[in-house]
Amino acid sequence: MTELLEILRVILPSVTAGGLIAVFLLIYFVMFPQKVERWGALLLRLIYGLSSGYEFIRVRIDRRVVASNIQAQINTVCDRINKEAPEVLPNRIMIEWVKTETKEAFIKGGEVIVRLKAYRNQERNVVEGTLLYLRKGFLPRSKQYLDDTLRKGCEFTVASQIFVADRSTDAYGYFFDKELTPARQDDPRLERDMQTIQHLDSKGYFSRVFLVEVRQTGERLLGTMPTDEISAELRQFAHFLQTIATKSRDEDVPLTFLRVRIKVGVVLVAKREKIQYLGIEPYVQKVHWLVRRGCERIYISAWGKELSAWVMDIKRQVRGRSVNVLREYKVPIGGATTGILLVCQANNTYLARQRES
Amino acid sequence: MKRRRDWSKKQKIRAVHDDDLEGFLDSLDLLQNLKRGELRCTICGVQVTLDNFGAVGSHNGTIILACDRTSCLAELESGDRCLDD
Repeated sequence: MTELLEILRVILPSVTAGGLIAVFLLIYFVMFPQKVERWGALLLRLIYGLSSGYEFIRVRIDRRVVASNIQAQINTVCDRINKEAPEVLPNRIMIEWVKTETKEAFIKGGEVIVRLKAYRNQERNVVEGTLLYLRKGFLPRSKQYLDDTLRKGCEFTVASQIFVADRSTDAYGYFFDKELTPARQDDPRLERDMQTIQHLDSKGYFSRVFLVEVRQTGERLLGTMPTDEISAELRQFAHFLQTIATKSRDEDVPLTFLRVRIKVGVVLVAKREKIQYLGIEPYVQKVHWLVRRGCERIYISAWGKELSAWVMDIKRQVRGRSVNVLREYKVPIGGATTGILLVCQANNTYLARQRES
Repeated sequence: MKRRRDWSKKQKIRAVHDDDLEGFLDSLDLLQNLKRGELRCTICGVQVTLDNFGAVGSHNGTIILACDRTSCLAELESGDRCLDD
């Protein structure tokens, strides 16, 4: 320790301000690569904008502006989605430019090479790049278990979120006109699935519940051939969540989904009167009961500030007993309303104790 | 603990820029055929030209093309359809 202090005493006076800034920048680059990527993209866009009339500069930086902006736009939104649904988009996008390729190497490589246009067509570039990226990188181990229409609906929803998040190009307008609207008109099943996903998303269930369950199902089934039975179960799960997301205040709907692969229970803290008269105990007991029934994951959900506060009380009562709380989300429901969603995992020790008794 | 994405894991998208398009197609011996209007989109069958070229891929040892319609590009990437269809 004293040796280290001695070294620092010798080194520190000789460190210049420039050196300190360089070290700070280096740490910043390592700690926040996504921010560096975003700032880099912004800077290049600025240079591109200022070089109007200097065609030779634009030609030189065009590739960099195109690639950096697609990467920054996609990676930023995907980081947010990954926070809600871990590992749904595990890889960041990277554009690799190709100039020439030998025929033999290209055929052997078996990869698709897509054309990207100059930056003035960036909305098209963003759309093509995003859809291609999602085709490869979205739920890489699980999407084969979804049927084609539902998978496409999920990809389109994530793509829309990417395009809406960055208004620097009109990528959403291009996507809406050229891809989304024609696809929905051509395929009524896709139209229905998009509505289902929209309902899920409106209550925060799309990324935080549905995609997470699809990913986990896929990981458990890894190496198994996709079957109609598996995709049917995933589709039924989407409809199960849709029924909950669209239910009216006093409507009772099924809140358990116990099938071959997905075993989920939902606890909706929605009735103020029930809590006022009976307290939180019925909800606590419901969580324990769902675990005993075989639910592997329990989602505790409430909409509105007051009910969300009760959920935190329920959390304190069940955490470490029948369930472990994996994640906690504050969900924007629309307008000023926010909701809360707790993702809980059944506690095996609790189950073992229950079986013994 | 906050989960961060591993920034070393990359999904590479290979792309050709408009400025390099002719040279790239020439290196694959496709340019002349394309200019003569002899190539078609594997997915929708439309004639592919330099204007509407969208992507190129390979299937069973053959080079396949897609026009610039987004749905054709997506299908080419997924390999759902091929020239033999």
